[in-house]
Amino acid sequence: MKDTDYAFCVARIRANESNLLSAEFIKKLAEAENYEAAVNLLVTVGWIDSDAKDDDYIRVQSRNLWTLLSESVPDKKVLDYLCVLNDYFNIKTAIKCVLSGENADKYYAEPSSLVLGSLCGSIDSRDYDTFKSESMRAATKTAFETVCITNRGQDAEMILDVAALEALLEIYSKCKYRVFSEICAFIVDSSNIRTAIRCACNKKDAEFIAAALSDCCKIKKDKLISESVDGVEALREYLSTSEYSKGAELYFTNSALYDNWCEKKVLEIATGSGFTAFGFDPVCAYFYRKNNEIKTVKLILNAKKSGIPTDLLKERVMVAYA
Amino acid sequence: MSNLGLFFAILGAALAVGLAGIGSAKGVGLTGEAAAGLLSEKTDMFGKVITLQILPGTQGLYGFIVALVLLNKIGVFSGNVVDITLQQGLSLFAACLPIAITGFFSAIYQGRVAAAGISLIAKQPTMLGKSMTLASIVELYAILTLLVSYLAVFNISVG
Repeated sequence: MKDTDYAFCVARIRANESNLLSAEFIKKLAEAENYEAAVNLLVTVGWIDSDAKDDDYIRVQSRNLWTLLSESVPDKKVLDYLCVLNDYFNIKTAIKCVLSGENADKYYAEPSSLVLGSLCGSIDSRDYDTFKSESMRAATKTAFETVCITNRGQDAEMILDVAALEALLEIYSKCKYRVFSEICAFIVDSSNIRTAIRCACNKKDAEFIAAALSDCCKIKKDKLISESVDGVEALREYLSTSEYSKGAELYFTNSALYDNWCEKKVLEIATGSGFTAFGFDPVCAYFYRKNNEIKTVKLILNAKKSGIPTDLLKERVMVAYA
Repeated sequence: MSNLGLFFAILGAALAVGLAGIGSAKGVGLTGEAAAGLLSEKTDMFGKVITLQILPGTQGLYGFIVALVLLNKIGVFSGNVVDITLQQGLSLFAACLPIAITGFFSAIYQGRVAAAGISLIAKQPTMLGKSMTLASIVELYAILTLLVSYLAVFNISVG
Protein backbone atom coordinates (compact mmCIF):
# COMPACT_ATOMS: atom_id res chain seq x y z
CA MET A 1 0.00 0.00 0.00
CA LYS A 2 1.32 3.43 -1.00
CA ASP A 3 1.62 6.22 1.56
CA THR A 4 -0.65 8.44 -0.56
CA ASP A 5 -3.47 5.90 -0.04
CA TYR A 6 -3.66 7.45 3.42
CA ALA A 7 -4.57 10.94 2.07
CA PHE A 8 -8.20 10.72 3.24
CA CYS A 9 -7.23 9.22 6.55
CA VAL A 10 -4.45 11.70 7.34
CA ALA A 11 -6.63 14.74 6.53
CA ARG A 12 -9.34 13.36 8.81
CA ILE A 13 -6.84 12.67 11.56
CA ARG A 14 -5.32 16.16 11.25
CA ALA A 15 -8.80 17.67 11.55
CA ASN A 16 -9.27 15.68 14.77
CA GLU A 17 -5.84 16.62 16.09
CA SER A 18 -7.03 20.20 16.46
CA ASN A 19 -9.69 18.91 18.89
CA LEU A 20 -7.18 17.31 21.27
CA LEU A 21 -7.29 18.90 24.72
CA SER A 22 -4.57 21.49 25.28
CA ALA A 23 -2.19 21.46 28.23
CA GLU A 24 -3.89 24.64 29.51
CA PHE A 25 -7.26 22.92 29.49
CA ILE A 26 -5.86 19.88 31.32
CA LYS A 27 -4.43 22.23 33.94
CA LYS A 28 -7.84 23.90 34.30
CA LEU A 29 -9.46 20.47 34.56
CA ALA A 30 -7.06 19.41 37.30
CA GLU A 31 -7.88 22.64 39.16
CA ALA A 32 -11.64 21.99 38.97
CA GLU A 33 -13.33 22.25 42.35
CA ASN A 34 -14.78 18.73 42.32
CA TYR A 35 -15.81 15.82 40.10
CA GLU A 36 -19.01 17.49 38.86
CA ALA A 37 -17.14 20.70 37.95
CA ALA A 38 -14.58 18.65 36.00
CA VAL A 39 -17.32 16.80 34.11
CA ASN A 40 -19.06 20.11 33.31
CA LEU A 41 -15.82 21.48 31.90
CA LEU A 42 -15.51 18.42 29.64
CA VAL A 43 -19.13 18.84 28.52
CA THR A 44 -18.49 22.47 27.52
CA VAL A 45 -15.70 21.47 25.12
CA GLY A 46 -17.74 18.56 23.74
CA TRP A 47 -15.45 15.88 25.13
CA ILE A 48 -18.35 14.40 27.05
CA ASP A 49 -21.82 14.12 25.61
CA SER A 50 -24.25 15.75 28.05
CA ASP A 51 -26.49 12.64 27.86
CA ALA A 52 -23.64 10.19 28.57
CA LYS A 53 -23.84 7.93 31.59
CA ASP A 54 -21.48 8.26 34.51
CA ASP A 55 -18.33 6.08 34.23
CA ASP A 56 -18.97 5.53 30.56
CA TYR A 57 -17.05 8.59 29.38
CA ILE A 58 -13.68 6.94 29.02
CA ARG A 59 -14.98 3.83 27.27
CA VAL A 60 -16.97 5.99 24.83
CA GLN A 61 -13.88 8.04 23.96
CA SER A 62 -11.78 4.89 23.43
CA ARG A 63 -14.44 3.38 21.20
CA ASN A 64 -14.86 6.64 19.24
CA LEU A 65 -11.12 6.72 18.65
CA TRP A 66 -11.12 3.17 17.36
CA THR A 67 -14.18 3.80 15.17
CA LEU A 68 -12.46 6.84 13.66
CA LEU A 69 -9.33 4.83 12.85
CA SER A 70 -11.25 1.81 11.54
CA GLU A 71 -13.35 3.99 9.25
CA SER A 72 -10.39 5.94 7.90
CA VAL A 73 -7.40 3.61 7.56
CA PRO A 74 -7.24 2.04 4.07
CA ASP A 75 -5.39 -1.07 5.25
CA LYS A 76 -7.18 -2.51 8.28
CA LYS A 77 -4.36 -4.96 8.96
CA VAL A 78 -2.08 -2.19 10.24
CA LEU A 79 -4.56 -1.48 13.02
CA ASP A 80 -3.73 -4.91 14.45
CA TYR A 81 -0.23 -3.56 15.09
CA LEU A 82 -1.68 -1.03 17.50
CA CYS A 83 -3.48 -3.79 19.41
CA VAL A 84 -0.53 -6.11 20.02
CA LEU A 85 0.05 -5.19 23.68
CA ASN A 86 -3.68 -5.15 24.44
CA ASP A 87 -4.12 -8.53 22.73
CA TYR A 88 -1.53 -10.22 24.91
CA PHE A 89 -2.84 -8.45 27.99
CA ASN A 90 -6.31 -9.77 27.16
CA ILE A 91 -4.97 -13.33 26.76
CA LYS A 92 -3.40 -13.06 30.22
CA THR A 93 -6.70 -11.74 31.58
CA ALA A 94 -8.66 -14.55 29.93
CA ILE A 95 -6.32 -17.24 31.30
CA LYS A 96 -6.67 -15.81 34.82
CA CYS A 97 -10.45 -15.62 34.50
CA VAL A 98 -10.73 -19.17 33.09
CA LEU A 99 -8.79 -20.46 36.09
CA SER A 100 -10.60 -18.33 38.66
CA GLY A 101 -14.05 -18.63 37.08
CA GLU A 102 -14.51 -14.84 37.05
CA ASN A 103 -16.18 -12.85 34.27
CA ALA A 104 -13.38 -11.37 32.16
CA ASP A 105 -15.43 -8.74 30.29
CA LYS A 106 -14.77 -5.90 32.70
CA TYR A 107 -11.02 -6.51 32.74
CA TYR A 108 -10.36 -6.56 28.99
CA ALA A 109 -8.34 -3.76 27.43
CA GLU A 110 -9.69 -2.17 24.27
CA PRO A 111 -9.02 -1.96 21.37
CA SER A 112 -8.15 -5.56 20.62
CA SER A 113 -7.91 -7.57 17.43
CA LEU A 114 -9.15 -10.68 19.28
CA VAL A 115 -12.78 -11.71 19.53
CA LEU A 116 -13.10 -10.90 23.22
CA GLY A 117 -16.55 -12.42 23.63
CA SER A 118 -15.26 -15.93 22.92
CA LEU A 119 -11.68 -15.58 24.19
CA CYS A 120 -12.22 -17.34 27.52
CA GLY A 121 -14.14 -20.13 25.77
CA SER A 122 -11.35 -20.61 23.21
CA ILE A 123 -8.71 -20.89 25.92
CA ASP A 124 -10.82 -23.11 28.12
CA SER A 125 -11.48 -25.54 25.25
CA ARG A 126 -7.86 -25.19 24.03
CA ASP A 127 -9.13 -24.08 20.62
CA TYR A 128 -6.63 -21.45 19.50
CA ASP A 129 -7.72 -21.19 15.86
CA THR A 130 -9.31 -17.77 16.36
CA PHE A 131 -5.90 -16.26 17.12
CA LYS A 132 -4.41 -14.36 14.25
CA SER A 133 -0.80 -15.47 14.31
CA GLU A 134 1.02 -18.74 14.83
CA SER A 135 3.28 -17.15 17.44
CA MET A 136 0.25 -15.95 19.44
CA ARG A 137 -1.30 -19.44 19.27
CA ALA A 138 1.95 -21.07 20.43
CA ALA A 139 2.52 -18.57 23.26
CA THR A 140 -1.06 -18.90 24.55
CA LYS A 141 -0.88 -22.69 24.42
CA THR A 142 2.44 -22.80 26.27
CA ALA A 143 1.35 -20.23 28.86
CA PHE A 144 -1.95 -21.96 29.60
CA GLU A 145 -0.34 -25.40 29.84
CA THR A 146 2.40 -24.02 32.06
CA VAL A 147 -0.03 -22.48 34.51
CA CYS A 148 -2.24 -25.61 34.48
CA ILE A 149 0.69 -27.95 35.19
CA THR A 150 2.88 -25.87 37.48
CA ASN A 151 0.25 -23.53 38.94
CA ARG A 152 2.80 -20.72 38.54
CA GLY A 153 1.00 -17.75 37.07
CA GLN A 154 4.18 -15.68 36.95
CA ASP A 155 5.74 -18.09 34.43
CA ALA A 156 2.69 -17.91 32.20
CA GLU A 157 2.73 -14.10 32.37
CA MET A 158 6.40 -14.09 31.47
CA ILE A 159 5.81 -16.27 28.41
CA LEU A 160 3.07 -13.97 27.16
CA ASP A 161 5.00 -10.77 27.92
CA VAL A 162 8.00 -12.03 25.95
CA ALA A 163 5.69 -13.12 23.09
CA ALA A 164 4.13 -9.62 23.01
CA LEU A 165 7.56 -8.00 22.77
CA GLU A 166 8.62 -10.43 20.06
CA ALA A 167 5.50 -9.54 18.10
CA LEU A 168 6.48 -5.87 18.35
CA LEU A 169 10.01 -6.79 17.33
CA GLU A 170 8.65 -8.46 14.23
CA ILE A 171 6.65 -5.34 13.39
CA TYR A 172 9.81 -3.27 13.96
CA SER A 173 11.76 -5.37 11.49
CA LYS A 174 9.15 -5.41 8.73
CA CYS A 175 7.21 -2.15 9.19
CA LYS A 176 8.09 0.52 6.62
CA TYR A 177 6.63 3.36 8.70
CA ARG A 178 9.51 5.05 10.50
CA VAL A 179 7.71 6.56 13.48
CA PHE A 180 5.74 3.44 14.28
CA SER A 181 8.73 1.12 14.02
CA GLU A 182 10.70 3.52 16.28
CA ILE A 183 7.89 3.33 18.83
CA CYS A 184 7.93 -0.49 18.65
CA ALA A 185 11.71 -0.52 19.14
CA PHE A 186 11.42 1.79 22.11
CA ILE A 187 8.68 -0.26 23.77
CA VAL A 188 10.66 -3.49 23.30
CA ASP A 189 13.92 -2.06 24.66
CA SER A 190 12.38 -0.12 27.54
CA SER A 191 10.35 -3.17 28.65
CA ASN A 192 13.45 -5.37 28.55
CA ILE A 193 15.40 -2.81 30.56
CA ARG A 194 12.62 -2.76 33.18
CA THR A 195 12.69 -6.56 33.40
CA ALA A 196 16.49 -6.72 33.52
CA ILE A 197 16.66 -4.20 36.39
CA ARG A 198 14.02 -6.12 38.35
CA CYS A 199 15.92 -9.36 37.76
CA ALA A 200 19.18 -7.77 38.87
CA CYS A 201 17.54 -6.38 42.02
CA ASN A 202 16.09 -9.82 42.82
CA LYS A 203 19.38 -11.58 41.97
CA LYS A 204 17.85 -13.90 39.37
CA ASP A 205 20.10 -16.35 37.52
CA ALA A 206 21.09 -16.10 33.84
CA GLU A 207 18.65 -18.80 32.73
CA PHE A 208 15.67 -17.02 34.27
CA ILE A 209 16.73 -13.64 32.88
CA ALA A 210 17.22 -15.10 29.39
CA ALA A 211 13.68 -16.49 29.50
CA ALA A 212 12.26 -13.21 30.78
CA LEU A 213 13.80 -11.03 28.07
CA SER A 214 12.95 -10.86 24.40
CA ASP A 215 15.48 -9.94 21.76
CA CYS A 216 16.22 -6.21 21.78
CA CYS A 217 16.45 -3.57 19.07
CA LYS A 218 19.09 -1.03 20.05
CA ILE A 219 20.74 -2.74 23.00
CA LYS A 220 22.27 -6.19 23.27
CA LYS A 221 20.26 -8.92 24.99
CA ASP A 222 23.39 -10.94 25.86
CA LYS A 223 24.96 -7.93 27.51
CA LEU A 224 21.75 -7.17 29.45
CA ILE A 225 21.74 -10.75 30.76
CA SER A 226 25.40 -10.85 31.73
CA GLU A 227 25.34 -7.42 33.43
CA SER A 228 22.10 -8.28 35.27
CA VAL A 229 23.75 -11.44 36.62
CA ASP A 230 26.76 -9.36 37.71
CA GLY A 231 24.48 -7.15 39.79
CA VAL A 232 22.65 -3.83 39.85
CA GLU A 233 25.77 -1.64 39.66
CA ALA A 234 27.16 -3.50 36.63
CA LEU A 235 23.82 -3.18 34.86
CA ARG A 236 23.58 0.50 35.79
CA GLU A 237 27.01 1.12 34.32
CA TYR A 238 26.14 -0.70 31.10
CA LEU A 239 22.85 1.18 30.70
CA SER A 240 24.56 4.52 31.32
CA THR A 241 26.38 4.01 28.01
CA SER A 242 23.18 3.28 26.08
CA GLU A 243 20.69 5.73 24.61
CA TYR A 244 18.32 4.79 27.42
CA SER A 245 20.69 6.07 30.11
CA LYS A 246 18.45 8.94 31.26
CA GLY A 247 15.40 6.73 31.71
CA ALA A 248 17.32 3.87 33.30
CA GLU A 249 18.81 6.24 35.86
CA LEU A 250 15.26 7.33 36.73
CA TYR A 251 14.29 3.70 37.37
CA PHE A 252 17.03 3.38 39.97
CA THR A 253 15.51 6.42 41.73
CA ASN A 254 11.82 5.55 41.37
CA SER A 255 10.21 3.04 39.01
CA ALA A 256 7.14 5.30 38.56
CA LEU A 257 9.41 8.02 37.17
CA TYR A 258 10.73 5.51 34.62
CA ASP A 259 7.18 4.65 33.52
CA ASN A 260 6.45 8.38 33.09
CA TRP A 261 9.64 8.80 31.11
CA CYS A 262 8.66 5.91 28.81
CA GLU A 263 5.21 7.38 28.17
CA LYS A 264 6.68 10.79 27.38
CA LYS A 265 9.31 9.27 25.14
CA VAL A 266 6.68 7.42 23.06
CA LEU A 267 4.80 10.71 22.61
CA GLU A 268 8.04 12.44 21.72
CA ILE A 269 8.73 9.88 18.99
CA ALA A 270 5.14 10.20 17.80
CA THR A 271 5.60 13.98 17.50
CA GLY A 272 8.07 13.21 14.70
CA SER A 273 5.10 12.35 12.49
CA GLY A 274 4.21 16.05 12.39
CA PHE A 275 6.57 16.28 9.43
CA THR A 276 5.04 13.32 7.60
CA ALA A 277 2.40 14.19 5.02
CA PHE A 278 1.02 10.71 4.28
CA GLY A 279 1.20 7.11 5.47
CA PHE A 280 0.43 5.34 8.73
CA ASP A 281 2.73 7.40 10.98
CA PRO A 282 0.35 10.35 11.55
CA VAL A 283 -2.42 7.84 12.37
CA CYS A 284 -0.26 5.99 14.86
CA ALA A 285 0.89 9.28 16.43
CA TYR A 286 -2.70 10.41 16.86
CA PHE A 287 -3.56 7.05 18.45
CA TYR A 288 -0.88 7.47 21.10
CA ARG A 289 -1.65 11.16 21.71
CA LYS A 290 -5.39 10.54 22.04
CA ASN A 291 -4.79 7.59 24.34
CA ASN A 292 -2.59 9.79 26.50
CA GLU A 293 -5.39 12.37 26.61
CA ILE A 294 -7.96 9.71 27.58
CA LYS A 295 -5.67 8.32 30.26
CA THR A 296 -5.02 11.79 31.68
CA VAL A 297 -8.72 12.68 31.83
CA LYS A 298 -9.43 9.31 33.45
CA LEU A 299 -6.75 10.02 36.05
CA ILE A 300 -8.17 13.47 36.80
CA LEU A 301 -11.76 12.25 37.09
CA ASN A 302 -10.74 9.38 39.38
CA ALA A 303 -8.65 11.76 41.49
CA LYS A 304 -11.58 14.17 41.77
CA LYS A 305 -13.83 11.31 42.84
CA SER A 306 -11.32 10.24 45.50
CA GLY A 307 -10.70 13.79 46.70
CA ILE A 308 -6.96 13.80 45.96
CA PRO A 309 -5.47 17.31 46.61
CA THR A 310 -5.34 19.52 43.50
CA ASP A 311 -1.66 20.40 43.85
CA LEU A 312 -0.60 16.76 43.96
CA LEU A 313 -2.84 15.93 41.02
CA LYS A 314 -1.59 18.88 38.95
CA GLU A 315 2.00 17.88 39.54
CA ARG A 316 1.39 14.31 38.38
CA VAL A 317 -0.83 15.25 35.44
CA MET A 318 1.27 18.06 34.03
CA VAL A 319 4.37 15.89 33.97
CA ALA A 320 2.53 13.39 31.80
CA TYR A 321 0.66 15.87 29.60
CA ALA A 322 3.13 18.73 29.10
CA MET B 1 5.88 9.17 -45.83
CA SER B 2 3.58 12.16 -45.41
CA ASN B 3 1.10 9.99 -43.47
CA LEU B 4 3.82 9.05 -41.02
CA GLY B 5 4.49 12.76 -40.43
CA LEU B 6 0.82 13.31 -39.70
CA PHE B 7 0.83 10.29 -37.41
CA PHE B 8 3.66 11.72 -35.30
CA ALA B 9 2.01 15.13 -35.13
CA ILE B 10 -1.23 13.63 -33.87
CA LEU B 11 0.66 11.33 -31.51
CA GLY B 12 2.28 14.46 -30.04
CA ALA B 13 -1.11 16.06 -29.52
CA ALA B 14 -2.46 12.87 -27.97
CA LEU B 15 0.47 12.63 -25.54
CA ALA B 16 0.22 16.31 -24.59
CA VAL B 17 -3.42 16.05 -23.68
CA GLY B 18 -3.25 12.42 -22.48
CA LEU B 19 -0.22 12.40 -20.19
CA ALA B 20 -0.87 15.85 -18.72
CA GLY B 21 -4.50 14.82 -18.27
CA ILE B 22 -3.58 11.58 -16.48
CA GLY B 23 -1.22 13.51 -14.21
CA SER B 24 -3.94 16.02 -13.43
CA ALA B 25 -6.50 13.31 -12.77
CA LYS B 26 -4.10 11.65 -10.32
CA GLY B 27 -3.28 14.96 -8.62
CA VAL B 28 -6.87 16.11 -8.38
CA GLY B 29 -7.92 12.64 -7.22
CA LEU B 30 -5.35 12.60 -4.43
CA THR B 31 -6.30 16.10 -3.32
CA GLY B 32 -9.97 15.14 -3.51
CA GLU B 33 -9.38 12.20 -1.17
CA ALA B 34 -7.69 14.46 1.35
CA ALA B 35 -10.47 17.02 0.93
CA ALA B 36 -13.11 14.37 1.61
CA GLY B 37 -11.22 13.37 4.78
CA LEU B 38 -11.27 16.93 6.02
CA LEU B 39 -14.89 17.58 5.01
CA SER B 40 -16.03 14.46 6.89
CA GLU B 41 -14.97 16.26 10.07
CA LYS B 42 -15.37 19.96 9.16
CA THR B 43 -18.11 20.45 6.59
CA ASP B 44 -17.69 24.25 6.52
CA MET B 45 -14.24 23.99 4.95
CA PHE B 46 -15.49 23.23 1.42
CA GLY B 47 -14.69 26.71 0.08
CA LYS B 48 -11.10 26.40 1.25
CA VAL B 49 -10.36 22.89 0.05
CA ILE B 50 -11.83 23.36 -3.41
CA THR B 51 -9.24 26.04 -4.23
CA LEU B 52 -6.48 23.59 -3.39
CA GLN B 53 -8.11 20.75 -5.29
CA ILE B 54 -8.30 22.80 -8.50
CA LEU B 55 -4.55 23.49 -8.62
CA PRO B 56 -3.30 20.11 -9.97
CA GLY B 57 -5.98 20.25 -12.66
CA THR B 58 -4.27 23.02 -14.62
CA GLN B 59 -1.65 20.76 -16.22
CA GLY B 60 -4.37 18.87 -18.05
CA LEU B 61 -5.65 22.18 -19.32
CA TYR B 62 -2.18 23.20 -20.53
CA GLY B 63 -1.81 19.92 -22.42
CA PHE B 64 -5.23 20.49 -23.93
CA ILE B 65 -4.23 23.98 -25.12
CA VAL B 66 -1.07 22.70 -26.81
CA ALA B 67 -3.03 19.86 -28.45
CA LEU B 68 -5.66 22.30 -29.73
CA VAL B 69 -3.03 24.62 -31.22
CA LEU B 70 -1.32 21.67 -32.90
CA LEU B 71 -4.54 20.19 -34.30
CA ASN B 72 -5.58 23.61 -35.55
CA LYS B 73 -2.18 24.08 -37.19
CA ILE B 74 -2.40 20.84 -39.16
CA GLY B 75 -5.94 21.65 -40.24
CA VAL B 76 -7.88 18.99 -38.36
CA PHE B 77 -10.62 21.46 -37.34
CA SER B 78 -11.08 22.96 -40.79
CA GLY B 79 -11.24 19.54 -42.41
CA ASN B 80 -8.29 20.32 -44.72
CA VAL B 81 -5.45 18.35 -43.19
CA VAL B 82 -2.17 19.70 -44.54
CA ASP B 83 0.62 17.52 -45.93
CA ILE B 84 3.26 17.02 -43.27
CA THR B 85 6.71 15.61 -43.87
CA LEU B 86 8.17 13.08 -41.47
CA GLN B 87 10.64 15.71 -40.24
CA GLN B 88 7.83 18.20 -39.57
CA GLY B 89 5.75 15.52 -37.85
CA LEU B 90 8.63 14.54 -35.61
CA SER B 91 9.32 18.20 -34.83
CA LEU B 92 5.71 18.72 -33.77
CA PHE B 93 5.89 15.50 -31.75
CA ALA B 94 9.04 16.69 -29.98
CA ALA B 95 7.45 20.08 -29.33
CA CYS B 96 4.64 18.39 -27.40
CA LEU B 97 6.93 16.38 -25.13
CA PRO B 98 7.78 19.12 -22.59
CA ILE B 99 4.17 19.69 -21.55
CA ALA B 100 3.32 15.97 -21.83
CA ILE B 101 6.12 14.77 -19.55
CA THR B 102 6.41 17.70 -17.14
CA GLY B 103 2.64 18.07 -17.04
CA PHE B 104 2.29 14.43 -16.00
CA PHE B 105 4.82 14.54 -13.18
CA SER B 106 4.20 18.08 -11.96
CA ALA B 107 0.46 17.43 -11.61
CA ILE B 108 1.12 14.38 -9.43
CA TYR B 109 3.62 16.21 -7.25
CA GLN B 110 1.40 19.26 -7.05
CA GLY B 111 -1.40 16.94 -5.95
CA ARG B 112 0.78 15.65 -3.12
CA VAL B 113 1.65 19.17 -2.00
CA ALA B 114 -1.99 20.27 -2.22
CA ALA B 115 -3.16 17.19 -0.27
CA ALA B 116 -0.54 17.87 2.39
CA GLY B 117 -1.79 21.48 2.38
CA ILE B 118 -5.29 20.22 3.10
CA SER B 119 -3.95 18.32 6.11
CA LEU B 120 -2.27 21.55 7.17
CA ILE B 121 -5.44 23.64 7.00
CA ALA B 122 -7.30 20.82 8.77
CA LYS B 123 -5.19 21.67 11.82
CA GLN B 124 -4.72 25.38 11.15
CA PRO B 125 -7.41 26.88 8.88
CA THR B 126 -5.53 30.21 8.64
CA MET B 127 -2.73 28.53 6.66
CA LEU B 128 -4.72 28.34 3.40
CA GLY B 129 -2.66 31.10 1.73
CA LYS B 130 0.62 29.44 2.59
CA SER B 131 -0.64 26.03 1.47
CA MET B 132 -1.67 27.51 -1.87
CA THR B 133 1.68 29.24 -2.29
CA LEU B 134 3.54 25.97 -1.70
CA ALA B 135 1.40 24.13 -4.24
CA SER B 136 1.65 27.00 -6.74
CA ILE B 137 5.43 26.80 -6.82
CA VAL B 138 5.17 23.38 -8.47
CA GLU B 139 2.92 25.00 -11.08
CA LEU B 140 5.81 27.21 -12.25
CA TYR B 141 7.47 24.29 -14.03
CA ALA B 142 4.28 23.32 -15.78
CA ILE B 143 3.89 26.91 -16.99
CA LEU B 144 7.47 26.98 -18.29
CA THR B 145 6.93 23.80 -20.31
CA LEU B 146 3.57 25.07 -21.55
CA LEU B 147 5.36 28.13 -22.94
CA VAL B 148 8.07 26.05 -24.59
CA SER B 149 5.62 23.57 -26.13
CA TYR B 150 3.23 26.32 -27.24
CA LEU B 151 5.95 28.47 -28.86
CA ALA B 152 7.54 25.46 -30.54
CA VAL B 153 4.26 24.14 -31.98
CA PHE B 154 3.25 27.65 -33.01
CA ASN B 155 6.50 28.36 -34.83
CA ILE B 156 7.10 25.07 -36.64
CA SER B 157 6.20 25.57 -40.30
CA VAL B 158 4.04 22.87 -41.90
CA GLY B 159 2.64 22.24 -45.35
